[in-house]
Amino acid sequence: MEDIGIVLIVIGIILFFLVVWIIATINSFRRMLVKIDESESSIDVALTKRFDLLTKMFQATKGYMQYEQETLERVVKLRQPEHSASINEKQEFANEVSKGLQRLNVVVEQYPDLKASQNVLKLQDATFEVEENLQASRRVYNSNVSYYNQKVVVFPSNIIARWKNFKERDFFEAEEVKREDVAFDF
Amino acid sequence: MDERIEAIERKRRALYGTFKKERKNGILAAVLAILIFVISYFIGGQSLEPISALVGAIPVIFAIIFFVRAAKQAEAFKKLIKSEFIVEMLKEQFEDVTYDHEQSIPVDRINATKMIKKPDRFSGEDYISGTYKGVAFEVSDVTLKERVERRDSRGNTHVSYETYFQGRWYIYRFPRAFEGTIKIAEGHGFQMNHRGLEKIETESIAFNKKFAIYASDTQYAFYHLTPVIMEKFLELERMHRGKILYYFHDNELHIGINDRKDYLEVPISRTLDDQAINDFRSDIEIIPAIINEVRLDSDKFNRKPKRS
Repeated sequence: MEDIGIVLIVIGIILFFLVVWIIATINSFRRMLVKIDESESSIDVALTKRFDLLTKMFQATKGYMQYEQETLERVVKLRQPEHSASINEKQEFANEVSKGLQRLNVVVEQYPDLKASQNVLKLQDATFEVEENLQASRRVYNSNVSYYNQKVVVFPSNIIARWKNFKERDFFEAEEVKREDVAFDF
Repeated sequence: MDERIEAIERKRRALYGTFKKERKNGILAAVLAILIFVISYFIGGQSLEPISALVGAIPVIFAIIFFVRAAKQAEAFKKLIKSEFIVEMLKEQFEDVTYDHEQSIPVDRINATKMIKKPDRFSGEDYISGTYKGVAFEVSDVTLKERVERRDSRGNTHVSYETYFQGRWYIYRFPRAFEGTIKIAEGHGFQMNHRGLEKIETESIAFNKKFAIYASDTQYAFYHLTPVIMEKFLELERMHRGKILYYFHDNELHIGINDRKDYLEVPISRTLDDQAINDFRSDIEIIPAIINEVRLDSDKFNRKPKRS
């Protein structure tokens, strides 16, 4: 009888720690998702700012774009995705805004009076700042996603992930133009 | 400049000649004193008579005088190098440059960063301030010591001051003020106070392994710590022995390099050749190199409004 008692106590202790581990793992997944969601919100904010700037740049330059019908139409058609939209949609939107800004900058380069305009210069400057913020948000998001995805696939937390249906998340990929080479010259 | 170096080299040779002569005399006097003490000790039946001690003390006094005079030659050379040579080199590179070889960055500025523990003793030298590409900077050698008490087997307490930071401290001041703090210290950052800050893990495994990173918020840390900047910080770390730390706050970047090196020094015995000049230059050129590599002169650090 004593032996059975000891076995039951041991099983009870194991079960207790198992339950604690399950709760802790589920909570950690939820916390990670909250962090991912927060960082996605930062991306949304940066994308909104970037889109606003694109619109303002467009307003400031549209008088010069009689030969840029395609750019005009593309910018006019652009609509920012909702917060609930997939990260891929947001990425596509970010790419479209980048292309739009690039084209507008090409237009600015072609017209010296536009290039010298204080308003355009301010907008361009603001674009760089928003760009840096977007890159920071993207990297925060990706690092959160990376950590979360590791937990989703690595044993033993993958058991909980499968059971509670925690799925791998997509990364917010860097646009080709943002991939800089690193050179050293200290 | 070459003529100037030659002139300084001529002065160095003259000072070094005197230095060697004084040092040689000092050594001879010290040897003589030892001989007198040893001989007197054995002649006096293994005890030192007062008259012998008095006779032996005379060469000791002379030895001290000679060594002090030798030290004065070395000091004169140090002053010559620092007052003429370094100032010229600095003026070639920077605007509004000032140099004071006896001053340093105040300890309060270093303490305010809370990157390392407060010292019980502080000293510093070779203070340089100036502007490069619109970025103001201050640099100096600093030495921080802590009081250490030890008890021996007899229960006696021995107090000593041990150096825990010796190297260079850089402060760069750019026009733009940021609303955040980033603290980066090599290793685990045990000496750093990171209360109220969150631990940051970047996407660079090498950077995370090398440094402990804390920031007021993750987004702000990633805003400054771009992949390029992280690589530059790692590169700067690889260039130096010892430990390095970085501190972003408001409109300042602090860099502390604890490499036990005494910067901007040339011993009197060393010929002022190209190698010596290059060593000097590298101690100075690292100041603008940091500005260039971290791009402290870029728009990012020059925009007037605060980061939202």
